[in-house]
Amino acid sequence: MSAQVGMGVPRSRPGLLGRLANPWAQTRFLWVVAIGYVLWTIIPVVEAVVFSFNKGRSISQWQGFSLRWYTGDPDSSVLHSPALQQAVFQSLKLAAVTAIIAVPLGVAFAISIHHWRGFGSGGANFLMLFSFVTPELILAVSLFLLVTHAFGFIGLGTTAQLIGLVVLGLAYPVVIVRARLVGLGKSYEEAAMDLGASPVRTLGRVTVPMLAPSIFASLAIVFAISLDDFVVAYQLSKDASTQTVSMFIYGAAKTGPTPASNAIGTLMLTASTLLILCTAMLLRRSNRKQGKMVPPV
Amino acid sequence: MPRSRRAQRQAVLAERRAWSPRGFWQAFAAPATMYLLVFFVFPFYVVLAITFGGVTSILREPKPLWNPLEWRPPVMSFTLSNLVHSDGLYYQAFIHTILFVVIATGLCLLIGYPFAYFLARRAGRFRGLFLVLFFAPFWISYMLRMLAWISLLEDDGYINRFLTATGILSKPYLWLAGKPVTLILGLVYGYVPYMILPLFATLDRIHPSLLEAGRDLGGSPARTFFRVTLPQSRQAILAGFVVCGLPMFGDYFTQQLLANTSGTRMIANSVFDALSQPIFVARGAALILVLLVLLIPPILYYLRSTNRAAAEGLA
Amino acid sequence: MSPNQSPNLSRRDFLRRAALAGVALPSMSAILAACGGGAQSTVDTGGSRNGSGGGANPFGTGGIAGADYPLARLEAPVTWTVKSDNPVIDSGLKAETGATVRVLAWPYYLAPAVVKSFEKANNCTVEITEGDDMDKLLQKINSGQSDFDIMFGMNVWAVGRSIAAGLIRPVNLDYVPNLAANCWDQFQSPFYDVGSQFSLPYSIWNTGIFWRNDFVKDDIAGMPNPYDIFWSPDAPKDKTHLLSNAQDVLSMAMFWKGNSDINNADAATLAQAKTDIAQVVSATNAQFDHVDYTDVPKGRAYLHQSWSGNVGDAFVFLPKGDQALNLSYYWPGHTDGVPGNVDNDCIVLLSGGKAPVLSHMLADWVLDKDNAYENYTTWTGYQMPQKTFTPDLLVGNAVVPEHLASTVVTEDDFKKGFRELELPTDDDAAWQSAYSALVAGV
Repeated sequence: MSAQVGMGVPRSRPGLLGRLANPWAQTRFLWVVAIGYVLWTIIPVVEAVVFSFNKGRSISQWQGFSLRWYTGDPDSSVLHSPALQQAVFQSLKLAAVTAIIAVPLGVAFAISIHHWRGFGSGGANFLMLFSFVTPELILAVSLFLLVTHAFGFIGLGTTAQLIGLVVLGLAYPVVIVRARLVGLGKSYEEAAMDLGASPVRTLGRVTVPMLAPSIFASLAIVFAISLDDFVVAYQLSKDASTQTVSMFIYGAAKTGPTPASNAIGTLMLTASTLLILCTAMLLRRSNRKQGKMVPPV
Repeated sequence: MPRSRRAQRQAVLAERRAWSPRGFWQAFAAPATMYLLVFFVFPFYVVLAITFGGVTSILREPKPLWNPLEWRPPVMSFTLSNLVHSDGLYYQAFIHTILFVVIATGLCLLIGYPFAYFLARRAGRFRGLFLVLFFAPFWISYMLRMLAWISLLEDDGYINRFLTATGILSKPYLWLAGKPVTLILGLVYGYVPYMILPLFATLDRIHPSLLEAGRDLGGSPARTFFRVTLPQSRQAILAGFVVCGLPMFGDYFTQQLLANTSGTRMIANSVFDALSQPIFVARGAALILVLLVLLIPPILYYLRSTNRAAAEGLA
Repeated sequence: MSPNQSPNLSRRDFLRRAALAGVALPSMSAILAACGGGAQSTVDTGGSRNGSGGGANPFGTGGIAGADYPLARLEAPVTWTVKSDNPVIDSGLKAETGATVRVLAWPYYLAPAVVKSFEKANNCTVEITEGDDMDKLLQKINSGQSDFDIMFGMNVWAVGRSIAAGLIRPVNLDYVPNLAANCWDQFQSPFYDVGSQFSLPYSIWNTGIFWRNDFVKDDIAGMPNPYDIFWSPDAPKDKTHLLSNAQDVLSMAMFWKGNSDINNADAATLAQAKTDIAQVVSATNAQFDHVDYTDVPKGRAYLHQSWSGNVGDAFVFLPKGDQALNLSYYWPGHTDGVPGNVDNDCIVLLSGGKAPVLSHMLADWVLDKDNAYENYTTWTGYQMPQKTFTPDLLVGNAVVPEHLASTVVTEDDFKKGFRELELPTDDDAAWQSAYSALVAGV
């Protein structure tokens, strides 16, 4: 990589004016921005984690260390609050099922749009991207009105939440997989086909395996987005049994938070860190394999 | 460019490609398209039916009218007139929304571009570390980070303690008493990653040789940046504006949690409040429609330019 | 329907509306109407209403006119009609076994310990869903096929419409002996539900002023008109909060002017009240919320219009033993010649519930005097109209600190205070509109 590009070996040293005109040349400025940005995003995470161990009810005044909000408190701790546990369960359930539904739909759509040139493909693609950039509140409210006033047989609850989260997550695999398809080009598929493979066989033996990393990335992203979603899950929830972690924390933030919210967040942070570490190792291995299989074009 | 030859070859291949039966590829798009038609497009008809519908007699709940012939316009005209008249119910929220979103999106670019640029080409051996640090906050619930911000911003929270201890402020600033600055920073905090991602992806892809060429042709670093890097990332900036700015139009909880005064209300708050009051649900539905219509032009512009860029990319 | 079949509709109208719709879908609309499931009554354009209270009405007798169902007033109590499709359950039924009782309640409104002991005693599960205001709670009961069993904290203004809409299951008082045994006499047969056929009393409160006496130095309790504080320059900027509720906020402005006839306000009175509150909002940058129980102790607000029960809740939020001498509360109704609001809410059983016997039993459990005491003192902060809860007991047991004795509501206060009742439909819309405008800052 050319770390020197742009700044360059000073053929003609840029004067002060040149530097000002090109702040990017000032690596120090960029470092300040980068470190500042990282601190800005990490500080609340640190705050949240630290105060999960607070002894008192406050999440802003340190009152001493305890595990009260994990195990100690008989009503509100993670260990003793059925509401909190069920919120975790509901969040995980929604995220997993959403990923399982949205990703295959999205991948199939991406493959289709990649090959299908003609009447309808533009429209379908447009619809997909439109759903991608529509503010979540609009999706959530229109679905809320749909299930409460038109599709009464669905009603509010887990099913409605899933329907909404799939709409929300559907475009991610499309965008990710299409980018990969464009990157790969058509030569592999054409080669397989030239060698006499049927389309279905080409798809199963060539296209999908080559897409595996992007499909995996899509699963992870859709899962993460659904897990963290608030607006859709909130608008379409029915009762305590369909409350998610985000909703729990929002409710707490509005009515009187306790460090129990922080505790549950910290536990989920720990879990996702472990998960991501494992995944990263797996991915690295599979990338190496992938690297052997697909020579650089 | 051997373009025509390639095109010929493709045409031949396409000819030979009786391997894809009619409708084969279309069939793959069908489930997702159907899904969107039923659960994304159709709900807007319900929104229309409620906007132009009535209310039930006892609980004053919205009563959709399915037949467009029976539709009644009063709620929509109420909503529109309250949106455009300066003493209207939604006027202030509307102006705030545009103001806050524009400022917040601008700040997102100001913060996001240098960071993405840094990440893509200046982080060197720390690149992996910074990437991890960039993604790390996502591993904990966004709502919890919001809650953490609230705690930090309390009158006697750590932000004020830091600012007064260092002498930057002489007395604590009331961050949570309905300050637009808090709300805007909250929005930036929530959405700046969506600005950084497309920028990073693009800046990372700009081929070094292109920059070298710019330099070799005698361009100063500044010129290289403005003539090569910036134009190359134009599309990403546009994408950043769209994926980072548009969702802000639907954000209500940031305002509820960080500001909660009439002086900081956004249009999404009006929607949210209308929905919790049975007799006003139709107004909420009308606002949703208006919002949708207002956002269609930027969305269309974005989609068109994406298509064009994609077409240029293929050429 | 084609344009020809509709003689009142001009062709241009038709085209315009069809264009508005994008496409006319008459057959589609029929299907939708069929599957919408809304067995709701007729569509109402919101024009003139022929009120029906006062005499015979399919929903009940008594009350005053102004809505499709009778509106209860102290001087015009309502006896609701028990319908055959929503009957009282038989006496002496066995509790459902292994069932889940699905509870709807305000946040911090039912002590987990009380619930846990009920679960244990009856071998069942109780699932509590919280909603942070009455309209959202109502929406939950009413949206689709709700199967909530019981709700804690239905405001009196919502009881009538919910009974009329068939959402509430009539109570079989045989299962609830604690009503007669423990509750105040005036709640044995309240004006809003003569004979307690559909409701049981839950919490009582008065609406007053909650402040931090270390920041607001005025002797609010000693002022000739305590409400003056909100309109005085001493109302702290950025630190004054009002309740997020149309009736509470606008009534306060009327009380301030000495007007206690809050349920019959005419348009001019309402407009004046709105203007008065808008003045407070613009002078102090006031926020609307009802989380006074954390706002004031934390210092987010120094002056808060409050429900006395939320002040009680503030103590639950304080560290143990903290007397919080910097917290003050006053109910202006205690001052001669100044009107103040006093109110109660209800426990109601919901007709969509699947565990009617257990929900009767849970209601009775909560009305038990020991359970009520635990519920109040360890969790909700909202007093119940229990005969055993006297100010002497509560202050003596240090449940309520002496300097906050004003949060205790007595039977006598219900004679002195004024209630915010369900308004006629059109008035209700006007109040809600006024409140929406206040929140929007216009």
